[in-house]
Amino acid sequence: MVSEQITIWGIGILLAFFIPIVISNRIIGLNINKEMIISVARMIVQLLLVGIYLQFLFQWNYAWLNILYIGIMVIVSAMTIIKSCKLKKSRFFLLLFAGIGIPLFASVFLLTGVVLQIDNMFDARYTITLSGMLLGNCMRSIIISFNTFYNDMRENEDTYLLYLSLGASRAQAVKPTIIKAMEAALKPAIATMMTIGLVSLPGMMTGQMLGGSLPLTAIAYQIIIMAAIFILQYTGISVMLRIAVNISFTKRDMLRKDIFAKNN
Amino acid sequence: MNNKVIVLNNIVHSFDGRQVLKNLSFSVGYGEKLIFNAPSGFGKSTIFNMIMGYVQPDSGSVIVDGVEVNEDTAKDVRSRIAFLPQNMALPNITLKQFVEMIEKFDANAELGLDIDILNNLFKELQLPDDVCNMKLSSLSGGEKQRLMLAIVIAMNKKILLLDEALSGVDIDRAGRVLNYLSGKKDLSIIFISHDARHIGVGDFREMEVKANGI
Repeated sequence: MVSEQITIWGIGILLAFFIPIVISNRIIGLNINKEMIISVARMIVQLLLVGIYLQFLFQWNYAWLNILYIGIMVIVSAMTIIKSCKLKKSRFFLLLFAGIGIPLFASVFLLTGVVLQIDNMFDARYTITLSGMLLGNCMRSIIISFNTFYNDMRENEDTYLLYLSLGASRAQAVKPTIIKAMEAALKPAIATMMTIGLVSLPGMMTGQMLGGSLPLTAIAYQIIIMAAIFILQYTGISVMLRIAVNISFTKRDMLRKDIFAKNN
Repeated sequence: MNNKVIVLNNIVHSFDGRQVLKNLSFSVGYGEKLIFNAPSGFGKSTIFNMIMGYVQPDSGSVIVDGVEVNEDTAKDVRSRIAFLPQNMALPNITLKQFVEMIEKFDANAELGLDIDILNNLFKELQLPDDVCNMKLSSLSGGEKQRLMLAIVIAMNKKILLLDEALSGVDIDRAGRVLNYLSGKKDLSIIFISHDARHIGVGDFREMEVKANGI
């Protein structure tokens, strides 16, 4: 099967539907037009650039270049987490880079080398696409888990201090907060797996089928991707929360203020 | 100083660039009960956090039960103190499960919380008869405060720090609780309260608090 080529004309027709949306927003006073137009424009430009870049990357297919590209993706993820959670870069960057990078490489190796048994495990077609999917999901769950962890620590400091006073070690006193953070980060993935195929067809699977793959092939890929995403999310947040507990408290067990960015 | 369980010497402390404590000194004797009717912004949480070893004063010293509080001694000092804060988000489990959880805490390896002693304390502090089977999250604020008080009394700590810990308890019950605590002769207590009606109840000695010092 060969996928139908999408023409610029076709894309243009679809984008034209944003015009009545802009008008409707103006009429009802929904003040999102500027943001919406910028986000659509950014999406098109960013995807075009990455498309052009990936085209070359797939063509050259140098293992070192692919690894470098994944390294850059990990750096961007680490910076996004730091910014979203308002953390201090100097304290978190290297830890996030290693805490995400190592489990990511292990997951990609597991998928390409063991599950898919591809000869060249650094083949751009597999490594880069799989890394992108895994990384995006892992980054989102770390952001949710960090935000939940630090917000809960600040909101429920009294309870944390009560547990310490009742004889808990720091690890025991933060355990309820860690559980909350893990639940908040993992529940969306569990809910997605629960309803996948019933409520919605996942984007990757749909894309594969539109690209010409047989449904059963697309489903097999989707299953391994969903499982790998969950495993990486679980590993990533477990590692990062453990690191957070180690570096976020003073020797006297109080939450450090100097781990957050100054404007926090 | 040997008959003092808590001693604060010339404490100076700033927070966020603002000096919250200036040359603060006071002491509490063994078995003594103090009540602070502190104005807000006085830095009461900071004082408790220093006694518990969570916060290091900019200058001055804190001595608890003969031990100077510092990074190395903080854990040991905490094992002698029970601290009850005003706001407690207790987990959604039963009292029995909660007691089991406390018994598993690192510092409580040899602690056995006797359920009969706890039941007697619950009666003394006028908690509902079926409190043992109730989920902690279903208790009112005042019930949670009295329940935690019963638990820490049963843990036989030497020192009790109460930070607005009876704010949710009606004045009659609070009076009974304070009278009951006055009868615990070995227990040293610092009770911070914004409720003037708590002053003069039981054996609690009132400590006048002025901004930035005592």
